[in-house]
Amino acid sequence: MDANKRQRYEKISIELTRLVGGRENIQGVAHCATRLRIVLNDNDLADLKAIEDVDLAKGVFVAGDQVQIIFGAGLVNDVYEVFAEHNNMKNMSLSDLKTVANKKMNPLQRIIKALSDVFVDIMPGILAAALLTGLSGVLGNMEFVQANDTLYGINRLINISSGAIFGFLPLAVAYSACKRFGGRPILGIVIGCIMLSESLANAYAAAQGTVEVTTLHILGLGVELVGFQGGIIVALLMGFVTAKLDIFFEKKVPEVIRLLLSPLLTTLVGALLLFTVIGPVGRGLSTGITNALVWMTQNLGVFGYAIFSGLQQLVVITGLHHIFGAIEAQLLADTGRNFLNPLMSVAIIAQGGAVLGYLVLHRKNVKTRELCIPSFVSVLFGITEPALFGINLRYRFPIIGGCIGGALGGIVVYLTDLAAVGFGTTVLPGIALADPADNGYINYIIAHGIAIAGGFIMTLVLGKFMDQTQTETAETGAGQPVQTETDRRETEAAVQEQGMPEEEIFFGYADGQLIAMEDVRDDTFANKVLGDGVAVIPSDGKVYAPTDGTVLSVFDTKHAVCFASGGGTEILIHIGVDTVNLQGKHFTAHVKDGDQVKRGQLLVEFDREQIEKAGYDTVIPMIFTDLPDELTLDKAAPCRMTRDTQAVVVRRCGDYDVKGGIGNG
Amino acid sequence: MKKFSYTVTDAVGIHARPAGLLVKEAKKYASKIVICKDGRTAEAGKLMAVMGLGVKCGQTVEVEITGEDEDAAYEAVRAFFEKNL
Repeated sequence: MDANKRQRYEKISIELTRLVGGRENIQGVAHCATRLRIVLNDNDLADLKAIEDVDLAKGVFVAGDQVQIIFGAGLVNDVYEVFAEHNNMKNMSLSDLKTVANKKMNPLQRIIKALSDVFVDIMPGILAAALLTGLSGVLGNMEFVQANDTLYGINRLINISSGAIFGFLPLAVAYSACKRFGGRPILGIVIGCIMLSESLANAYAAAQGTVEVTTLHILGLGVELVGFQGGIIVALLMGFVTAKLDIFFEKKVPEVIRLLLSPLLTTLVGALLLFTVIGPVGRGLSTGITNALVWMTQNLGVFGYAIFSGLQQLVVITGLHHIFGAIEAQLLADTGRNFLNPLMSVAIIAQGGAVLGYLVLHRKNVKTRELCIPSFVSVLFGITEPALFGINLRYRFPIIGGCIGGALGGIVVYLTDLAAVGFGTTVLPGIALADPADNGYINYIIAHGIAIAGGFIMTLVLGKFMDQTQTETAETGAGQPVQTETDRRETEAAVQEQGMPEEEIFFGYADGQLIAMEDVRDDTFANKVLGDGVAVIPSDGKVYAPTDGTVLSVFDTKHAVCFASGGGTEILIHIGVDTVNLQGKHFTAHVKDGDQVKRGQLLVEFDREQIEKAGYDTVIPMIFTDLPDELTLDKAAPCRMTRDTQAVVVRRCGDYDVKGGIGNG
Repeated sequence: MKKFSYTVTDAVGIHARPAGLLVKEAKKYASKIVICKDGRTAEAGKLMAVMGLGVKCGQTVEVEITGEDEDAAYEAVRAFFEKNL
């Protein structure tokens, strides 16, 4: 941008700032392909009519909480640069802007949103650990496993593998939270490591009183050297604090010594806060909740039981449910009967019922199925984290359904006087612990049946009123070879509402060199007759799925594949130019019409050398055919392509439904 | 509504390139243009749908055109088929 232009844009910026109600009224600014988007505190202060007359502005409108001003492709980037600089709001992405917009949600909604964002990121790890925990629990109870050295050894290894991520969950959470709130992820990891440092007494051991805890005295304040195993709330808070500290110090520390001082200060201040304030407060909060729940079961009879099993899973969210273990041990020592175990078990299975309820409401959605089924299986083994964070808490109403189901189960536990003679396992493996007195096993099954049915039915009922993702539209998942335009839009809307990211990443679909579509030596592709996209000059003869999705059709001649991503974006991968004339020779298809595929899965193999020998160019364009107007393509610059390289990012530009044709981003 | 049948003579059928050109042509008109082959239909404005029909040489398609500019669209699309397919 030359000086003249800059001057012109500066004038525009000054005028715009005035017309939207001054700098104080601006919360954030970003841009998409054609529009400058400004989030305002109060839209009424903006003089839309006057903004229309601003130099170079082609149109203006309000969408949601944003004022969007159309400048046009290319131009908007420069105007944004200057405008953002003018208002000290550089480097916001569209998703940051969303975060700013999110601030208009109520605090509870915001907390839940943040929680689920944090956990979705680490879900694969938790899920693996949860299922392994279940597996090792089942195997461990089998006598022939115990008796056989090899099986015992393998089970022991499974047990260690499954326990590790739960033991280090606070680390994963601190990492993910720090990242979510804009800090550098490594600093989150550092804080997580501090929380679990070997120099601290293990929290579980400390809770059971098997280790001695050292207490430091800092300014008269007692600081107990206990680790934060299971301290999810503390880890969340610390991730947040670390992110904010990182942002603060990165801004304040002069550049010369920034790398030297900023991470150091973030870590030091973070650690001090952890041990003096956040740790004790988080711990106190959770211990208080736990103790209150236990007190209720002992003093409020059936209501106490119902409340305990209704709310127990909320304690799991805080991560402090491990404290129950100590109480259970105490109960067994005192009375020989542990009534907390069945209460927790029904609370757990009820969340599984809620997952099933959600699954039924969204049974045709592939992503939902993928998430629900393993989550439910892990619930059967007593691990609810995937179900809670992946589904129930994320979509809000299932957790309520699950808690109600849990409370119902709790009532049955009270009425049948159910108890366990041990602790540590629940649900399926937990039945072995049930006290057989008074038909204990049957009562155990009845209580769980009522809890799971309660969770299931309540979720269905609540879903009728509270389910924000429209069931009908969510059901038009992938799998239909040819979707109508409305279908597709609705699917996208549904996918988006389910918390899918606003962007879809298409990774390298062949190893080789990425080039611009314009550089393909064929007019049809280069002129984008079929659509925009990128192309790869392959270095070997394999084409992979660029993202998860569905194969719409493989040409009979196998030289091209029509594909729809999970988000409904359609692409055509066309191997070579004019290779249709080969009639399938030198091509091998590894998928067929309608196949669901994972990113990186082999789609088609071709004999590159033979095809080139036959006189054909083997360049592979990936074309975004029928790209809806509200999506924009962010194409990678020419580079080496592998399956892990991002080739194209599809971004939702008109994320607010803008009708009426005022220009499309 | 106007309609015509056409038997594809192009050796490779309606593959990506002619399909792309056909879509481009079809999009010029406001009329709804539907291509039918063996009971399956595809809107001529949608590339994936057209390619999904998998029309090969020697196969016959029915093309139906409905809308205010159907006369002009009929002429153009028919000419397109004859010239390119």
